[in-house]
Amino acid sequence: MHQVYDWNTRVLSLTAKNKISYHLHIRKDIVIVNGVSASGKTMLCHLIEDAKKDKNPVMLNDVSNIIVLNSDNLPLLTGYDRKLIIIDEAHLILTKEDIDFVNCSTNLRFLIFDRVPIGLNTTPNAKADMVCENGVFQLNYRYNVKGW
Amino acid sequence: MPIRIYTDKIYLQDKIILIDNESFFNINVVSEEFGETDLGVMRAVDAARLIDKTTGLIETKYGLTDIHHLSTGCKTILNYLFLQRHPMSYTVIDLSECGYNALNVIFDLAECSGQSMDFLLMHQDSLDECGERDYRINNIRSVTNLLFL
Repeated sequence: MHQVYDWNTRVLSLTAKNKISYHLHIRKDIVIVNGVSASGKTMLCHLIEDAKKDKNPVMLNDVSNIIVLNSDNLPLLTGYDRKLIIIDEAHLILTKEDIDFVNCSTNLRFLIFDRVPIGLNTTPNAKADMVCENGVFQLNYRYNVKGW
Repeated sequence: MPIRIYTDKIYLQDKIILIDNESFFNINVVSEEFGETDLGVMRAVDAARLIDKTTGLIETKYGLTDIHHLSTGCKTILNYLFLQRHPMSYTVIDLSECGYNALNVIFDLAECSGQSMDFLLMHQDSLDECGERDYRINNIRSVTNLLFL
């Protein structure tokens, strides 16, 4: 079975039954994704959630090391280990204490879909836009400056 | 009339703000009520076409789905239109989940038909891509380009 998020290569790769594909290189431990509306951010969350509920639009893929964070599983955040945590609309979900935890976490990685600045410790190199090129969703990082 | 935008909730302490647009849409908005303006918003933001008004089945560039899978930016604008049809206690709508493409659509609507609610916008992501208009910021100053938000 193909693991959707490869912890070693930092790549999230999946193809859904309707041929939607994501190939996201999540280069930092915290990556913030902005961009236009309808660029596929929330759709990724839905695909992962549906895969976990066994609706399985994702073909033969293991999403066990990905968590789509919401208000229901937020209390479990501090107990996760070696997971990619995807947070849509983070400013609506995370408290100040949660944000402190995210900033200090050493065993989790975060993919944040939000435009509102909430105090995450990141560099500009961690900011990306979700784009679709040749039918594949990818992350276009806005900067790649050495030392940032 | 300028587009009224507030950048922080501190300016809106006596107002009721619609913040969670995703949840509000999923609970309140039904496709049976969609008019031409709603359909135009779906086309403009999500490139989506309503197939079945009763079930909310839509066709997007990624296949068939339903209106609950529209983007949050699109839902925000549809909420704005819903509240024009069904006034509630909300006097402000939070646009912070809207990318600049969705912002341009809702600003056009507000310009054309008169702005019925104030807008809260807590991000500055790519706002230079929003069109030039008369904007009133925090009821304090006026600008024509959101680059100067």
